[in-house]
Amino acid sequence: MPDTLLTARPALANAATGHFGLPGAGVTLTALPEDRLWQALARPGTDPAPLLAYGAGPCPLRSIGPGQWLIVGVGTGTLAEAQAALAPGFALSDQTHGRVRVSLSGPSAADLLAKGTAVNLALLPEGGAAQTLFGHLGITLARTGPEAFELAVLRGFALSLWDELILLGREYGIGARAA
Amino acid sequence: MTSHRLPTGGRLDRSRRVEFSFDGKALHGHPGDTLASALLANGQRLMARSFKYHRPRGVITAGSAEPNALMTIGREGRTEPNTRATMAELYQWLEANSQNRWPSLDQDIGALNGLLSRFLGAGFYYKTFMWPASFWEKVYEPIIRRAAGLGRATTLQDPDRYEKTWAHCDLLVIGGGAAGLAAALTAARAGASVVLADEGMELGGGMLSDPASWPQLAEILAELATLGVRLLPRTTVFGWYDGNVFGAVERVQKHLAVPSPDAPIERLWRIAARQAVLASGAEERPMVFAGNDIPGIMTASATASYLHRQAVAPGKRTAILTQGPAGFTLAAQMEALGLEVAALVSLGNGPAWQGKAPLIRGIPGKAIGGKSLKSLQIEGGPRIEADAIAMSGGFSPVIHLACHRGARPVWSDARHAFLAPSEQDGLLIAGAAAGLSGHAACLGDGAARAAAALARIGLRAEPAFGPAPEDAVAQAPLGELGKTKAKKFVDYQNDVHAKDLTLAAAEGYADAELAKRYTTSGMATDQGKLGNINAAAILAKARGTTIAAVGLTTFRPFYTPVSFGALAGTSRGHDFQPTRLSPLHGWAKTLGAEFVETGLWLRSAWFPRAGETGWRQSVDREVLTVRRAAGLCDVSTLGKIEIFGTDAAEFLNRIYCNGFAKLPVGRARYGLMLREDGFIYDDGTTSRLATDHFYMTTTTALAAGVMTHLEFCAQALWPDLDVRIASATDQWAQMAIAGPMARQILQRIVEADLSNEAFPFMAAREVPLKGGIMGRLFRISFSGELAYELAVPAGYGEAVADAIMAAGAPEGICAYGAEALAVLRIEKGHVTHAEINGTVVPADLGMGKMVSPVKPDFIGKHLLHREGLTDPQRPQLVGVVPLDPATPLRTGSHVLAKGAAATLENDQGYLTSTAHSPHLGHSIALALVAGGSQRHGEEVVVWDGLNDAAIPARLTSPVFIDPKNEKLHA
Amino acid sequence: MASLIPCPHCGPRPKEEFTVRGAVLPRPAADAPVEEWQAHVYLRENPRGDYAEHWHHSGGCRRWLVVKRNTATHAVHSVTDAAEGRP
Ligand SMILES: [Zn+2]
Repeated sequence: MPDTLLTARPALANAATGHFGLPGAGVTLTALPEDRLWQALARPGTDPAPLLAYGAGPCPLRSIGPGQWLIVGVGTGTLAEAQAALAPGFALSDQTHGRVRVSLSGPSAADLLAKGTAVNLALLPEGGAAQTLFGHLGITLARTGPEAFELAVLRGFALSLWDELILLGREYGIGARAA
Repeated sequence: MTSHRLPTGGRLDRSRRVEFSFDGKALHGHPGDTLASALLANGQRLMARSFKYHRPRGVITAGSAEPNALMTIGREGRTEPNTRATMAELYQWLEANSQNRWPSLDQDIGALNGLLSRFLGAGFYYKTFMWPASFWEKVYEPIIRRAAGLGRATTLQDPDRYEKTWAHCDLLVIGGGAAGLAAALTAARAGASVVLADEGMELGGGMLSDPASWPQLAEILAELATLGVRLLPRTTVFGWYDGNVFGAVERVQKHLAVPSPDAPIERLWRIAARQAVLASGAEERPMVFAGNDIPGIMTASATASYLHRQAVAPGKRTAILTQGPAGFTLAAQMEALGLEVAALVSLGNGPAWQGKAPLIRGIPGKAIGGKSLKSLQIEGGPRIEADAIAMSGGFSPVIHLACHRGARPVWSDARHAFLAPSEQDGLLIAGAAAGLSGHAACLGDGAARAAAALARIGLRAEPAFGPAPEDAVAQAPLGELGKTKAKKFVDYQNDVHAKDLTLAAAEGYADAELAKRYTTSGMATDQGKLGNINAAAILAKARGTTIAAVGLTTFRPFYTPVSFGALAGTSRGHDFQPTRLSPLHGWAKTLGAEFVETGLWLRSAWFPRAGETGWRQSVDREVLTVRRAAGLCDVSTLGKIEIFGTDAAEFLNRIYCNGFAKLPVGRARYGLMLREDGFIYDDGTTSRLATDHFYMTTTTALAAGVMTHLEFCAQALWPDLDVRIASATDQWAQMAIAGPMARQILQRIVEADLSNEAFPFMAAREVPLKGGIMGRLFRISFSGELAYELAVPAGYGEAVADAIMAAGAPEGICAYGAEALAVLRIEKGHVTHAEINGTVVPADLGMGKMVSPVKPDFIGKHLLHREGLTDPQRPQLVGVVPLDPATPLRTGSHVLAKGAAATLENDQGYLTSTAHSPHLGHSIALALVAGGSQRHGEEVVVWDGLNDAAIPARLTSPVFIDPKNEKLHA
Repeated sequence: MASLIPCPHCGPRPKEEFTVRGAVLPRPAADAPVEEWQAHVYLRENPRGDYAEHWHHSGGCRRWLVVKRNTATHAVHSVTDAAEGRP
């Protein structure tokens, strides 16, 4: 038994999926793969350029505060290799399992987000990120397209966030699906 | 009962009927009706009984300031008391009921209060019900509450959903009348982002009561929609807050017969506006004369609104009382519609009058009628037969919002009104709210104000309308009219009449704020929107001073009542707060765990098995299995913090009271974190994974608090240190594997030598697991057994826990929960926040020697040695056992010396934690007892006040299991 | 109900994202007399007017900030990072 391969179980494996609320496709909610999410820590003011290659996708590097970033998406190297290359300027804390990402897209995605966060989404550019509260939950919010966003939330709260997004999205019609 | 609906006109959809009921009576109206207009159309003028005297009342207004027509609307969980019939849109099968009457609105016993009214004047309860004091709560208050009051709230669950949202805009326009529309249009044409909110069901404000302006209104609304302005009708902006955030409540589905479960019934908006224009209009002032509350009497603007918007004539013969030109305009409009104006009574200087109705110069003496108006006696003049009165006592700008952040209303002699400062940071006032009159003037002012507001944020805008002259001159508030001593109502809702105010002044309560408390004038749901100005005029006269000197009471949010549902949003029931799930939640659920809420977490509390009849049986089994073989417990909820940086060791050395600078790599250490006042803040183990990398665990309860504390120390106290902190609580599934068989079980899945020599007590390092992942393994023990804590990336948690359970099956490993964990730690004398209660220092727990005497500085060092904190008689940690093993001990019980009475003076401490020890076969406790460390063996009494039990007991060492730590080091 | 605090790192955010600790007080030197520590821990001004406080942007960048504000008018004069201007 212990010799069999250990497999990871996604935090949203049992989350509700399907269409909810009014007809129409105002918002699509998608659980994203739990593939790479590292937190990089440096002294405030440090240029994060060396981190860029380790992430991938539309918003690979998300600033969450002075001297802190999330590296998202599978870029080059392993964590150990990155750590070795980046020390001592940057320290890396693996959060691949610690935070869960979901995407939110569609014409009403911004209206849905406004129900939880006070961030002015009109001022959040594509590729930009903000650490904020969505209701009671801390999230890292990133804009990945004109009508597309990603939210990263602590794993323990992933299901609560998922259910809340569906509830608040019902008036637009919301489709929820696993990755 | 006759219909008062005019054959044509109005903004109604006459092709559709809306059925509704009032006090059980079936009635109908049309889409476009409010409940008030539909009742008037059905000839139902009697709508309520007044608060104190139970006088028959009808509507006074057609808007949100309505003081009288408060009703209970809806059924069952949707029952809503004190709804203003003037604001409630009619919907199919709406059910409305009058309030504050018994047995019926028509036959109301409480009206006898009117006969007792000489006892019910201002301040009556302060004077009348003084003695005896005990009667207040038991007799007087219940009777008064039953006799005087508003509607009753339902105790049923509200079936609807509420939510909150944010909006951001360059310009928020409050009020959708002429000034507001012009402001929004001006800003939108300039490309600004605009939100336009209005409390009415339709945008247009006063323009809706003026059919001549409807084509222009339609044009403006169409252009606003094309320009992408966010139009929010049915939305009351109720407060202006710091940072130029406005609170508003949108009644999303209140007007629908069957609200959709897919949308909220109400939505609370927080609107962050760079600039705002307040275009909230003005309230027409009622006149204060005898009988001015008889149903059939309302303001002239309300009359115009019902006439033009819903095509309802408030009466067959209307007398119009007017101080300025407003009544003349109304009279002409009514005559043009073929309605009879009984008389036009002018109290001031009106324009020339060419209509049919007689023009009378005079003041109202007394209105006559009971449940319906019959006539109006002109003071020293004729009696006019009339079943309706429209009165216009001038206008008061609606400036509440502009005063929510501290600005005071200022009396304007020119405008004969209180005005708010017209230019404040973030807010300008336009139109009637600034004292202007006439649609053209308001359009021009709204446009100019919007352009000025945008200029403040660097946007250029061309006013959509040019300046235009006003159509009336402002009128001074009239105060009390007529010589009669009969009741002249000032505040309808609170039944405050002119005499109450003169009495208040005579008794020394003439200050606006004092008079409000003494008479209740300006209280309750309408907060004196109509009456305050007349009250000020009456108080001014009584004091022989000016209205300006009397002033107004302070305006505070909320402008109109806001439901608790809207303020709570989605935070109710299951969604009151989020639920935090451990990565081993599914694993525990599969094993049938019972869960307990710990903060936001759900923790597995115990794991019942078939045949076990109570939780104690399961917990006892789990504890004994751990002591005998092994168990696995989910400890993922412990706070986990990664600390990096070249100064990380120095940082921890300053954070903990014990030393951490020399902690070797690969080792864990138990640490005590103090507060600056010397008391213990939190405890936990911290491991050194590399020279500049530590892994800290905190208690579940203080995980967030410790993180915040570390950040404060790193950023605000010692920013010179190179230290970087990341929370890793959710990254790791962490499990304790405890018991004499723990090593052999764990060795089956860990690919590293776990022998005592290779992995001794307090070893801590990364280890590979069979199955191809890395884990962090710590040889630490909360249970007192040979034990490990294994952390694996959270997603692998369930697979690893399953693997360990399978590996330990031959030894009979069991899953154990938070309850068993608590028993195990109490048996071992380990503390939690039950003991670390904010009043203990390390020495109190027998950990005085841990405190480093050599470190020059650490948090808590400098106040730790104060006299009171080193007193040998301080409460100290001890164990407690009952002399009779069959007697249970209960947490919170107090410790007394043998034979001492249960008094505060004799109190020697209390039991902080108790458990049934299956190992010992009786109840055990940890306690903080005065001088306890020197009293092991002493017999005491444990006093359980809740059960009134005095239990003979003995103080002992707090360590009930393995005092030499042989199991720990095995 | 609502109000916005301008975080120097995140921009204007609602007060719900922040946690207030209290007055900004320099920590006494390690060898300061106990009276000084006593005052540091227990004694606070309660001014009507300008006040400097430590606020934590707990729901945002997690930086400790110095918020200078007026307790009577609620005006926020400045918000800076607590580490700024320190060694
Ligand atoms: Zn911030």
